[in-house]
Amino acid sequence: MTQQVLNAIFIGSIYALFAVGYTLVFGVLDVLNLAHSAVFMLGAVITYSLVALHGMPFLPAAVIAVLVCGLLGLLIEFVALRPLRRRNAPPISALISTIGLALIFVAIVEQATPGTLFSWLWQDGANSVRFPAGTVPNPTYHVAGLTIEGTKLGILITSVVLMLILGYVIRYTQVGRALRAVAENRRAATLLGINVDRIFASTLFLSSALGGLAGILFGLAISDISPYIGRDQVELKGLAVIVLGGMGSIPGAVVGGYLLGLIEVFAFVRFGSNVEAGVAFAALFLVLVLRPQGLFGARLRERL
Amino acid sequence: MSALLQLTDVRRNFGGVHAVDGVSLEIEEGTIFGLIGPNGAGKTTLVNLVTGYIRSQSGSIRMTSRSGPAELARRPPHAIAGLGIARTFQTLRLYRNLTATENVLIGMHSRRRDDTLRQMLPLRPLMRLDDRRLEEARETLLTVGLNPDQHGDRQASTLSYGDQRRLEVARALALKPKLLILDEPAAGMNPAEKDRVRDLIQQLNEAGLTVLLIDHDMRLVMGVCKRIAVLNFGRKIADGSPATVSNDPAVVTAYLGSHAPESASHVPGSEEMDIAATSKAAASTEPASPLLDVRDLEVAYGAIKAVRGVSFGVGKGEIVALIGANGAGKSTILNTLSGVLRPHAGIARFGDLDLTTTAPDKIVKSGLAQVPEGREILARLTVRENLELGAWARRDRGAAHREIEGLMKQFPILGQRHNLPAGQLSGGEQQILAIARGLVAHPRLLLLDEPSLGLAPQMVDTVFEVIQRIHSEGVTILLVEQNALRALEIADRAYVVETGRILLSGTGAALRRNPEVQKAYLGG
Amino acid sequence: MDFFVQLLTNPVGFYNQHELLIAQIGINAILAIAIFVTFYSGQLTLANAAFMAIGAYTTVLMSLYLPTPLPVNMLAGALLAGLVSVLVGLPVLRLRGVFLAIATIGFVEALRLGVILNVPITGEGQGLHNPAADPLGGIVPILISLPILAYLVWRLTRSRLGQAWSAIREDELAASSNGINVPLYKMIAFIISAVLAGYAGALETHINFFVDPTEYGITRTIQILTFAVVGGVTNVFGPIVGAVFLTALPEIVRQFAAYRDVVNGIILILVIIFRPQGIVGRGGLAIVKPRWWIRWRAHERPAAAH
Repeated sequence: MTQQVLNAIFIGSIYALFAVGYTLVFGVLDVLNLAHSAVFMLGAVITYSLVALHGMPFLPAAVIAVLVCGLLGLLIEFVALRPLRRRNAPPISALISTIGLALIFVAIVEQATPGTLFSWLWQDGANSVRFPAGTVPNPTYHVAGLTIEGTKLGILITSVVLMLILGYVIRYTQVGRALRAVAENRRAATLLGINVDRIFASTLFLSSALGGLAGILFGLAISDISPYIGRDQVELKGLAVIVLGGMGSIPGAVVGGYLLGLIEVFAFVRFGSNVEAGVAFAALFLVLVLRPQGLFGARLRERL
Repeated sequence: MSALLQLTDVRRNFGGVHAVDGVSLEIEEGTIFGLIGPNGAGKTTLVNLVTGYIRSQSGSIRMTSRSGPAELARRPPHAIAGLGIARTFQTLRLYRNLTATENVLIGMHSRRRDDTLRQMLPLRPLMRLDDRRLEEARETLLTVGLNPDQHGDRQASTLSYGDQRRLEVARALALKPKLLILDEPAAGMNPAEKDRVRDLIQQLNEAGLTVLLIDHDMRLVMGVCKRIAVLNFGRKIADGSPATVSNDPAVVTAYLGSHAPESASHVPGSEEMDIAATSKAAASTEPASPLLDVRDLEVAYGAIKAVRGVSFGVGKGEIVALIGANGAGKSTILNTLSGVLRPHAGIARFGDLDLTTTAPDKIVKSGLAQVPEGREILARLTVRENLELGAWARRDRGAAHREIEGLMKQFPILGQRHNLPAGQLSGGEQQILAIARGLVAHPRLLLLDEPSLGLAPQMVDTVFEVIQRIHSEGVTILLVEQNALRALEIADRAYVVETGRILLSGTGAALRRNPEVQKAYLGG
Repeated sequence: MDFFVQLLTNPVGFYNQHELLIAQIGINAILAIAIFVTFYSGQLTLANAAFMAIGAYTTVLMSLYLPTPLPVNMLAGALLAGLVSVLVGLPVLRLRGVFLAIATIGFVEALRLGVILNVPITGEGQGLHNPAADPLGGIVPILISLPILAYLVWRLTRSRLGQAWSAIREDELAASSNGINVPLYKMIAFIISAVLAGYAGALETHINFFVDPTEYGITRTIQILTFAVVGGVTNVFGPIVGAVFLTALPEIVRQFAAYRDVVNGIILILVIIFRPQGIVGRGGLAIVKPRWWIRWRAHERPAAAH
């Protein structure tokens, strides 16, 4: 049982990291960035590409991949989001344009086979691969009757460290305060002299970098890298997590991520693997119906 | 005459704030009833309670009609509409992308029998039914003064502001209501347009319609209403004929605050202001080389011409006040200066900087800070964090830090609560926080938008003391205030703004003595 | 290009060669009509793939285990979808904007992963084999029902109900003040949409020998959304045009068929930014105005309005 709890914590870390990026964009820009799961996938794909196709060692490959994902975040902002803001489009439009970008990202990888346009990036088309053995050292530890894989431990530590750093930045630095200001009241932030557009771009960069990193960790932990890992594995789980935790709340995303990990593992243990997948969505549904603001979110009130 | 609508001890609070605190009143059938009160008094909340958008927590709302009495208290809005109560909205809620005619047709919804299934087959008799409805829509448009041929097929959002307000009334009339509730129908209109609104209301009332009118324009309300109730902080403080109410000392105090001069005899603005007389009054003494120079500024807001050619100046070290009624365009001017809005004509220079083309964040960095209307503090951040953000535009973090510490000593309220989320402070405390935050930016010019809004009288005293104090320390201030009395007491110079234009200018003292200004804004 | 040439010069031959494509276009058009109905009432519901699945599985299961004739099975499928929509709609329809979208997506995946893949009778991951399928004859009900449904929905939008939907779409609060029972009308739209989607699902099983659970996931529902967005949702013909255009596109432009999704994605982005009203639309995308949009807009109101 404790072994299962451990697994829940590992997978929960990845969910949390992914969800934090999601909720960051939602909190600051009021937009649900559905291209986030595609960036997650690209993080894994790019790292794999650098390691397996171009022979780079893992650490520099991962760093490059994370930076590229951050840049993709900027792409999302400049191509899909800013033009809509300039035109005063309703937020649903942003939802749709990010869906469009996600479609493009996934399709590019899906169609990349040897001899095609993008074969420098990916050669396995719609198939699933895993990092070559030995990419990352993976000693196994046996502690107190539990089996702990080194990789998974590394994932946990990386996630926790990152979330702590992020938490510190948001709570104690001027930039973090500016981010919270923009999230809370765009107009007041403008009047304080904050360049809101620049904050948006930074948020997207940060969020996508985190998402890409989550994808890399996922690829390591689950040994599954394919064009569909974003859509099939985390997209809806990410939604479930941020709804559970409260949309726009970073602590909510973290708590929600681990909570979902635990719920999934318990469902798996109790009911078997088939139900496990549906659990996330059942949770999502229930939260939306019973308490739409989630654990830490604020009530939305309309002014007449 | 019998009472059409009867409210008994209606209460509603929001997390500790008593928005409506035991209000009882009676609206006689066939009359025009007015509801007035300062901003935040609870007028619109009361309307939302009556029309079902908010649930009352206790008390009863009873409507009596030919079909007998009906309790409205816990019914949904569409049911209340079905009982014959129609309303317009303070913020104007038209179906913007539908045509004017379509808007009116939808207003008829509850009177129209459901012919949806029959509509699936295009039969001749249905065509005639449609024609009849269109004819009725035409007539309703004509009643409110719109031209169905000219306006009928235009998208509602393309109509002029005055016409949009009229259309909303038409849509409400299409319900053939027993009671029509008008929530600020004349907001943002010039005097001529307001007169037309007044005529329309009287015309509808003469035809037998009972009207509940909420508005800030005293002249309008006192001019058409048979009876008026005054709300303040959620309670009814007066109820009677216009003459009674406008001379009631409690009401006068509510509008003027505790500083009301002995001579104040009635509610400001309840009588006609002689515009011709005022225009000839006091000459201005504009500063020679102003820190802020505004000329012929014109700002439009979609269909609304909010600012129509305004010119004024602010010299270094002065306090200049812009006074005027609600909706005069004062806040629009400040927002244009801060770069949040852009004018379509005119000049606004701050030193060398052209405010009309510079980005808002650069304007703040150049030394022009605004303390916005409604304070707009960041409720979930702590008091200290709010202050620290005030220093966003500055480069010298160390000095800013020391100043923040100094401010927290200067304003003990802030020092005591420095780790609390700003949202937990009272209105007055938040206002002081907002001003302090504005100061941290070391502005050369500080814009204050309605600092006394919604504050209890003692807090208003405190806030104005603070304003005077910081002025004496050398900050140049441009102050926008509805509370003309207070503003004129501390201002070096002031301008009277009405419907987007400057009517008068002069020194604070001179304007305070001006008889027309006294009648219109100072209750004398 | 030869696609169009054939269409114009040899329509009968064209028809015979592309029957399956035409049938699919027809089904997608009906799905587009389904999502149009909810869009028209201002709701971004993305549950259509789930209702399709209900229609599809019910029809096939009844064909396999009950002696009832096919039309009855299809009707049962559509009606069951409608029934489920009531159960789902009751808690969900008071959500607005993005929350509604997420809840309905959640329902789609919950149905697929939770029910379909777990209940043995549905054949779980293997799907169901449909012996009663008739790929050639199956196109007939599609071609007949499409224009009828389009017409009915068109008339619906011009009826009192349709006007109420327009009002709700434009401004829910104002609609209440005009006597419109907003929750009821939203539910009616949702039910009609579900029935249409269920019907389309049933039709689709009739031209395929195989009912595949992966067909009824988020990808499908987003595809349907794309039809509506690209075609425009001002009137019922917009989504139909969108469906026809996007379903036929990969056929017309054979070289890029592999990159179909890239093209779809690009079209989607371009449309939503530069022509949000879609191909057929009349100016201004007025789908949904969620709460924070209204609050943010209210902030923009001039001082005049307080």
